[in-house]
Amino acid sequence: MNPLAAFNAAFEVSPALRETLEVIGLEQIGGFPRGAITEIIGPESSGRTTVANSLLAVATSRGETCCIVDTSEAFDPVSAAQAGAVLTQLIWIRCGGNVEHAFKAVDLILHAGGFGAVVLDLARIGERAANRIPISYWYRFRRAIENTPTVLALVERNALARSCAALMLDLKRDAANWRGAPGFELFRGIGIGVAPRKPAGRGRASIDVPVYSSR
Amino acid sequence: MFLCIRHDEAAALAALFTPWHELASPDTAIFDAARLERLLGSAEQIAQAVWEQSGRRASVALAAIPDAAVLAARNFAGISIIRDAAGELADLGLDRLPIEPDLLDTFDAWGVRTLGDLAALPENGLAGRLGDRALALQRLARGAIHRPLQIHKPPEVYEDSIALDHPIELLEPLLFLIARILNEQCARLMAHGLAASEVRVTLTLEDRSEYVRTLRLPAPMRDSRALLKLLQLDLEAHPPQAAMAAVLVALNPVEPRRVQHGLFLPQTPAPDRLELTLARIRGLVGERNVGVPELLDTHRPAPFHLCGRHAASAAFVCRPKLAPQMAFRYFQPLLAAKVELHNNRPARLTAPGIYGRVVTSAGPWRTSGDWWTLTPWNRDEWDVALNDGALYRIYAEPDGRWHVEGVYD
Repeated sequence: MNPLAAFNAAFEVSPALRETLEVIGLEQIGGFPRGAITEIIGPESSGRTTVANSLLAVATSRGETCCIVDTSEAFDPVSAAQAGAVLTQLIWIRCGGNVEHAFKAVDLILHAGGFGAVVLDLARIGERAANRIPISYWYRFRRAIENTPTVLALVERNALARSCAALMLDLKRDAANWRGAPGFELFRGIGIGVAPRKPAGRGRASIDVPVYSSR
Repeated sequence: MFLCIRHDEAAALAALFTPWHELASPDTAIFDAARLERLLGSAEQIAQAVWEQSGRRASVALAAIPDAAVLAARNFAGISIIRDAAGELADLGLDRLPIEPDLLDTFDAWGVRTLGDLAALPENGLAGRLGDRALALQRLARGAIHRPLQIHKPPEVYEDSIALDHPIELLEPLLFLIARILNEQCARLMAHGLAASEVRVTLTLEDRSEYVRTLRLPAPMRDSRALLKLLQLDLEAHPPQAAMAAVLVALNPVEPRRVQHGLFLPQTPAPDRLELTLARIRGLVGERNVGVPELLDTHRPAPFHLCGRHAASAAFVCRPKLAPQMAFRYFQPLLAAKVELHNNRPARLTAPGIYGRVVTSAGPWRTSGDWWTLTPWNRDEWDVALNDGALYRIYAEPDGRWHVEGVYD
């Protein structure tokens, strides 16, 4: 391969972070679109945080500055580092369960500009708090990152941004991977089923994700 | 004529007469008295004035070349006027010169013991035998070194203060005063090609106590508006407890941050803008909730903490082969749980928002540590899968209390 072409390929400024989904074996779905909102939707143990960590790992390992707005203080930096995230490139904002603070923080971050990926974790907020989020926030966020290289990813239980999102990934949990004799099992991983709800028609994929354990 | 002062406070004495002076050593200052004749009179009059000003304790010397004046001031008390440096300093010993011990031994072995002896040696022979060092000393002994003065510049101080006639209680009028000082000091920094790495505001309160706030910036800045906004956010978060009678703002000058941008480096937030944004967010969510995650070298559960400093800069990172890893999510605050056991293994889990039969479990993983500190831990961990498919990490404390630590996601 031509060395210059290889160099260009390595540092291609792509409109989407394709590697993010390639890393977890979902290349047929495409990548996380830059300058747009992506929703990662699913119940607990469906792999939402795993996908978000992969996004942070890809973006930070490219040298980009990323931010995680952690509404319910659920972020585990050990998992993120195991997935390959460069923690020095990651800004972590803990909101102590205050959804309003989380949205204001995201708004400030998006308007500051220059971030590669911003993850807003809304997975543990209650249904009542989710229903009280003004829809104008999503339009504001979409407008703020339009024509910028920023990926805004939402980790949530149910779809919230809806029409403002360019990509919606629906995650479902498959069987967990346990090994060992009955009574002496070890938890070794989990199966994740991913189906893009928007844009539709990109198929469905299933992947096995190992769990890091020092045990 | 150059005037040399030898005194413990030579710099301060010289500064009384001219700002253009050289500090040969902490107790020796030189300036050109000939340039001050129109202002202060002849060189002899200036020497007399300097001597009087020092309380008649300084050694003052006048000579046509700076180094001869220094030699005379260091070796003669009172006022010395050197008209013929080679002749009048000829009797001084060689050890009065800035000479290396090995060279001094050589001259001593040759029987050369005074400046006059050294000045009388043939130049070519001296240069051939002892090199340039000896030649430079001979020129000094002959009073033949003409050099410009190296003007001493005191370090610039970027600070200013305002004392108020009447104490002020509100932050807004205080910010007007701080803005005035910051504008002036940032303009000075800009003119000198510097930036500030730290801003210190000292408020003298009505009760004579001092209230100090220090902002340490992650990257040097000199934008007065950005600095003012940072100070405003900081003072709003930490207001003084009394009315303010005086304000002092000091900037720590450093070289500005110079970054070589690369064509293929990704875009990163501008450091000053990012700092301003994070300061606003800190005001919203609290100071301890914004930063960079840092892993700790410990076996303690949740081995990480939030580090306040960040350095947002694009860099080529050695990219490892990325592979997905199952992530974990913590529950904050911890969920107290009720666990039913069957054959000493969890059989049913009940916690706020979580209820189900345990289908599979792995454990117990017994960990403990830090028993020698005030915050020891001791727990039995289990990984459990419920009948709805969710996977949790639960643990039991020695007193039998169960908690759900988090969920695999």
